Amino acid sequence: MIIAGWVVMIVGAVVVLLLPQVSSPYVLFVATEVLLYVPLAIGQNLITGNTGVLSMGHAALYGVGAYTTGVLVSHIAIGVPLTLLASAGAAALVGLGVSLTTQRIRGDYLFIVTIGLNFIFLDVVNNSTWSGAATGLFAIAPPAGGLLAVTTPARFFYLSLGVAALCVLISLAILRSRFGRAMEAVRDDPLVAATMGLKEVPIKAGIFGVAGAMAGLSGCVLAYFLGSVGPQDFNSNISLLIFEMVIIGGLGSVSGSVLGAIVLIAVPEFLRSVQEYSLGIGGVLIVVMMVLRPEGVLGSWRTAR
Amino acid sequence: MATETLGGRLVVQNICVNYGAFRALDGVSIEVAPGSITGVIGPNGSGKTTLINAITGIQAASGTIRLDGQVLGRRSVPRRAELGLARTFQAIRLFQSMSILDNIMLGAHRLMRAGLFESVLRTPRSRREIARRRARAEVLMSVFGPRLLPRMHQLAVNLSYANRRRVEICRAFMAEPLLLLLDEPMAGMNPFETQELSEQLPELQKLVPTSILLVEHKMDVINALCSHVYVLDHGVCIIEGDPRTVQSDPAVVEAYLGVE
Amino acid sequence: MITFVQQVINGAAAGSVYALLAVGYNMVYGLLGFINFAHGDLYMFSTFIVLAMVTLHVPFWGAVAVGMVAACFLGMSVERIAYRPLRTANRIAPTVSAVGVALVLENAAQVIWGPATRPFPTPLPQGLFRVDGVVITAMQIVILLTAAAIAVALRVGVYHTSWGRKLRAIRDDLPTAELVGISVNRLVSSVYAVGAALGLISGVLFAAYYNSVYVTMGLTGTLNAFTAAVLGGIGSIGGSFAGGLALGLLQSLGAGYISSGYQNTITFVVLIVVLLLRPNGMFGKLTAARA
Ligand SMILES: Nc1ncnc2c1ncn2[C@@H]1O[C@H](COP(=O)(O)OP(=O)(O)OP(=O)(O)O)[C@@H](O)[C@H]1O
Ligand SMILES: [Mg+2]
Repeated sequence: MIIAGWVVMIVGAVVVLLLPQVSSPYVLFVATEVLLYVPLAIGQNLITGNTGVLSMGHAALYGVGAYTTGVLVSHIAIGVPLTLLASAGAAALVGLGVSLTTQRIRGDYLFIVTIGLNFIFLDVVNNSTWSGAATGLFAIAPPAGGLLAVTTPARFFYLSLGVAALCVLISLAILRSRFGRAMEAVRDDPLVAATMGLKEVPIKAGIFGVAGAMAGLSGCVLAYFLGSVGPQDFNSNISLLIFEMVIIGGLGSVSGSVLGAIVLIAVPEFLRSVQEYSLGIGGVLIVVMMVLRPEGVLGSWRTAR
Repeated sequence: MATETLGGRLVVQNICVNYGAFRALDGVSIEVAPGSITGVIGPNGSGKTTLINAITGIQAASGTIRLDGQVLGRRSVPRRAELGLARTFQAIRLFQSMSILDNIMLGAHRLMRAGLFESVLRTPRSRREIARRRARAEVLMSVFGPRLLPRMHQLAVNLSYANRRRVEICRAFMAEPLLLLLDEPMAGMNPFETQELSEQLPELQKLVPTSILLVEHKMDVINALCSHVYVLDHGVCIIEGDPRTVQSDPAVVEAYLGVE
Repeated sequence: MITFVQQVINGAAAGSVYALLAVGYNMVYGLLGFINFAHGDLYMFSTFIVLAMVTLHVPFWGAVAVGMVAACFLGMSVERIAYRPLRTANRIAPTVSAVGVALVLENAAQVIWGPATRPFPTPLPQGLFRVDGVVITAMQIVILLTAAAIAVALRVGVYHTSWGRKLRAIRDDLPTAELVGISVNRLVSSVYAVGAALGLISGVLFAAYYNSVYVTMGLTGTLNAFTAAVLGGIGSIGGSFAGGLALGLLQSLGAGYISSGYQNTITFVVLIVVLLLRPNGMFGKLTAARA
């Protein structure tokens, strides 16, 4: 069994690595898109699945990353690695700030407040000159030379793959460490967690920071990938889509996040006939999953407060 | 592995707790000597759990609470845990989605020195630390013989009632606290298990030197374990002293044993 | 001064629309302690139904009647299918289920009616009056009068009918209400129907006032109405009106004196500040919170 598992993993890895050589440009495009959503779904899952915070503002963190890249590229020529770092840092700071300001707000109210985050983000970028207002920023091109010169679709694919793999690894490592248990303790029973010295505020803020950084990385790659950023790329529907990914993929599971991204991005892309309905089909799935087996999906969530 | 010095003196002076207009604790003063097991008894609703909640910071209270001279005052629940308070709950509260071992290891959170980065990167230092705590957890579990050790990777949710109690007790001892507050640890156990636990508690205390504040209903447990006991009734401490004297006091017989 | 009075009038009209939508939230929340996240999308969807009827040359009031029936039916079906099975589950479950419903409604509206903003022709009076430089439209008067009439009707309904008595019995103690023979399911169903019907009225007024209907008005409706509910005291029906008006005024004064581009930001800053300072709303009683 274990050997079979390894074989599957290795074959999978080889297929993924060779994808740019063997697939059509369209398939490669879709695969890159899926990979861009992996860090987003993973971050959302750390927040919602593992730490138990209902948050619906992930697109705003994504947008902060993308706009940071857009602004940086049009002002100073720093390489891709530094831009990635700066975008991750900016989104992490915003995530941290959001978590710290909303700590005292109760679970289901927080849900609505974080939807507001999307609207606040859009208000800001739509009304500022540095963000190009409603038209957004254009001609975001990575430098041609240098260490990470992402200029071809294949290179974009590898860059997204690298970022997604990094986020998977970080997430697994966090969950395997004692902080993974600490997050779950805060989720399952904050009071007991407190009596053991676990501090809810910094734990939640830290997770928002980590998830923000992941979203920022994705945003940066997206900005390069599209060559432009605009308000329409980060509206509340994107947040809803990311939220759907972790519910459908499985709360609290890293592989579930990846699965959710594949199901909600790749499947609708390839089944053109259902693409128009994908958000709604996801919605039906969510209702069915909740009604049939709420505990199965939510695990041992005990947010009875 | 023993705690550094023999600390753990708790001094509670004149604390009052109100639930709305209802006064659940009305000027209670108690003291727990370092290394002792001090009992608190009282009929249902007399304020025993409220007392533990006040000491651990879950419930706001007036009056002063000192641990080794340090005033706990307005410190938060996790701060008090860091200072060396640990507790169990009358209605057992384990993390159901985690294994027994994970539950118990979480108890050691306040002692872990490896920070976020070290833990996530699994540096040698953090691995050593985890291995050490894990060995410690196994030692604590082994006090309960074969009840927990072979099951340590099972989910807590699948355990019997008495075993969940044992896990919760191990988890509290894992914190190596200065003061441990046990809220009716024998509740729901049969006479045999109760007897067993009253032998195991001193054993655990030998492994982890700590003062214990023991809230209990069963008089024979108090007799066996405690050198000093306080009797609460309607939020007031009506008498204190050694268990045998207290037990024969007419006020106690009326307030406590009479109710039973 | 003229601008100020003008903004107050505009804000009161917009706020009345929020209030009618917030009532639907507050009735459900007061009863079951649950935020019906799909309420705004339901209001959007049923307003589109009215528009579709009008497009099919159904007379306006007939279209509104059809929309009303459809809204009630939708509200009750959603409750029956997506919420009722979860009434005793973990409180997160119905919230997530509601997100699913909202997505379905939004997607359906998008597919059926497209993403574009549509005009909303009505026979409602479109004139305007000028009083000392302040402009008051006939539509604003219609909105204020409708909201006032509904506020009075609700007051009577909740405090002077047997339906209202049962409602209050369930709110205070659901298990006991069930024991004394109140059919909880029927009553909850009726509350969803009433909430959806008020939502439709709110939607028609909104669409007529701004002469537009669009898919994303569902989500913004959800957010505005929830903010109104929180401002007024979540769970309190009377508070919906106070909160709706307060939010309308804040938004329109904010647009007039700060910047019109930051309407949503103003809403959310208000929401966050209120939640941080008064977790049960500005005018909310502390007892309104049900764990
Ligand atoms: N959160 C609360 N709100 C209001 N009253 C409370 C609350 N918690 C406890 N009480 C009341 O305070 C009194 C003391 O309660 P407490 O739980 O401390 O009693 P106890 O001595 O631990 O009883 P038991 O032996 O049943 O555990 C009781 O009358 C109880 O009803
Ligand atoms: Mg008790």
